[in-house]
Amino acid sequence: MDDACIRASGLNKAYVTGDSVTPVLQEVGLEVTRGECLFLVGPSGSGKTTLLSILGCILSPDSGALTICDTEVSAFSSTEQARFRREKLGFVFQKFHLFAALSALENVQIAYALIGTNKLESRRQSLELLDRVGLAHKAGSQVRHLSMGQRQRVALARALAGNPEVILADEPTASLDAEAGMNAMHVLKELCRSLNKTVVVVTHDSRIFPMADRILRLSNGRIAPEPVPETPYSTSAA
Amino acid sequence: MLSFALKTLASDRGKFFTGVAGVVFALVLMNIQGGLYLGLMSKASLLVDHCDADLWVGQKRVDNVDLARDIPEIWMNRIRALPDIDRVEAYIVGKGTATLKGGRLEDVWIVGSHPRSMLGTAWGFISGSPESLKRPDAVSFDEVDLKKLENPRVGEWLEVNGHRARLVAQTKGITGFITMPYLFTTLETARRLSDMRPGFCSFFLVRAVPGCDKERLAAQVRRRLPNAAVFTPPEFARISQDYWMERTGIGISFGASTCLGLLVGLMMVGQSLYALALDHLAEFATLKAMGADDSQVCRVILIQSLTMAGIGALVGVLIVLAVGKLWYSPLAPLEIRPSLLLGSTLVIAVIGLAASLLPYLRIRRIDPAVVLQG
Repeated sequence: MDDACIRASGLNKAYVTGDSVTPVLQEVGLEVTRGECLFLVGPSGSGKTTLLSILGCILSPDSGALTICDTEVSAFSSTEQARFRREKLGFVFQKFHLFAALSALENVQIAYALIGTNKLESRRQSLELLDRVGLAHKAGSQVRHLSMGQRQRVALARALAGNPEVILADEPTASLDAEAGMNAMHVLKELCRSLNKTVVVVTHDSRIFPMADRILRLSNGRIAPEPVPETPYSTSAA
Repeated sequence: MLSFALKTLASDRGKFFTGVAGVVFALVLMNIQGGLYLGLMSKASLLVDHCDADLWVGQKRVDNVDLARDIPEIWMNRIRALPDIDRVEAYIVGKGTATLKGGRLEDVWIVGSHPRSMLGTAWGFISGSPESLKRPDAVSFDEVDLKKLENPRVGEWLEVNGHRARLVAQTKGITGFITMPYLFTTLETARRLSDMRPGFCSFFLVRAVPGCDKERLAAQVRRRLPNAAVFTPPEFARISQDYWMERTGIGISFGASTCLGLLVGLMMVGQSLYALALDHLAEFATLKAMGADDSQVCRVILIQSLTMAGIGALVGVLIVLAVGKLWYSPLAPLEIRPSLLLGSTLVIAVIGLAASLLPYLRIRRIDPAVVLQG
């Protein structure tokens, strides 16, 4: 066991449509240490989302090795992938993907239900998480009655439910205005730091680059060698 | 998951109520069709069901209580002495043609009981009594046959097979499978009105001594009367019902319309669940992205379908019970039995499970990666 929470090497992925094969990821390798906040950036079509899907055990790579939390996951079956996702990974989606008919509390509780936590315990832990994202007072509110920023914080609480080791966030600020986006990222960063979670964020939003511990640029399906330029807001980009 | 399943279901009231309506429709149709069928079938064994005999003895090839064949009364002597027999009486179920006041002819059943016990006689008297039938030429008639018999009144005379019969009693609710009027009377009057040969009758009605084994007694009677058919009342009722069911195909007719109702119910529930699933594909994809496996997704769909089935069944049962209370038609009696309600509710549960199959298969195909595609 070492300090790398995610270790990928030689990852390849191509999409096949009829006779045409489109390579999306080529020989991608990366390491993310425990507790690190890594940003994946790059233009549209560079393979960011595909890489996040593979890191999130939603897609399997065509070849290459991927170890997450000391478990080799690249050859997992879909059932094994699902079990690994619910036990080890938390997701924050671009459009939040909250369950519209449920309250904020129930949206968090559902992640506990998936791993079989009993109702009382899941309620207690969900309320604690909502408190940590500053939404304890909105626990009983239907998510459709919450602002976009509040919804994103519910999504953060849900991603942290069940104490996953890794949080994967897909464009977490894309549906938010500048202020709400920065607030949501602050909450994500602080929570993950205090809970020692490893975070991988896919984003286009250069305003939040300063919050990354490290930034990797993807270009044409490969990790670009050059460093990401500093942004006017940058304070601590690696 | 329960909360997610139920709240998602309740969030689209249109689809929810369509599904519930489908279940209600299927359950009510099943019970009304089944109740009418049972009611109709019970009419085929009306005389058996309302008679207090312990055994029925008839001609060897008899297969219906209404369509009896003559047997010699002298055969009774062979079984009278059996220790388990309390008494044996002749019983006549004959056919006649009544000439009505206006000159029209109407076929009638003539049912004659032994005057000592009047076993197997009419019931549901609204005028007169079994005692009044013991008078010479006295017969009863039923309210349901008033129109067929040209609205006779108690005290009036009727001609049956050229013999005079006096209407002395009126009953309510006695009508058989083929709806010919029943005229109940005594053995002797029935023999005369139906032109039955002297020394013959249609059946022997056997009353056993209390506490005896009826099956054993039936076996003893069969040994003594090898040329007769011996039935317990449930056996004879079933044989009489089977006779009409096999000859009329009525079971197929009722069964087909019930199946059609079930199919419509299945379609409505299935369509509602499927449309609901399509509306919530993104949410199911999110669940799968979060790690829900097929069994957890299946549980959501099953909770939804069984909830629809359960609520629909509850509403349906209440409607059926209300209809059962309000329904009165001797010509088409409705027999809602607890076993019918229970059976139809189980069928509804199966419909619920079947209806969830299609949405489940659709949701199984969802790729959770779609939630990461913006």
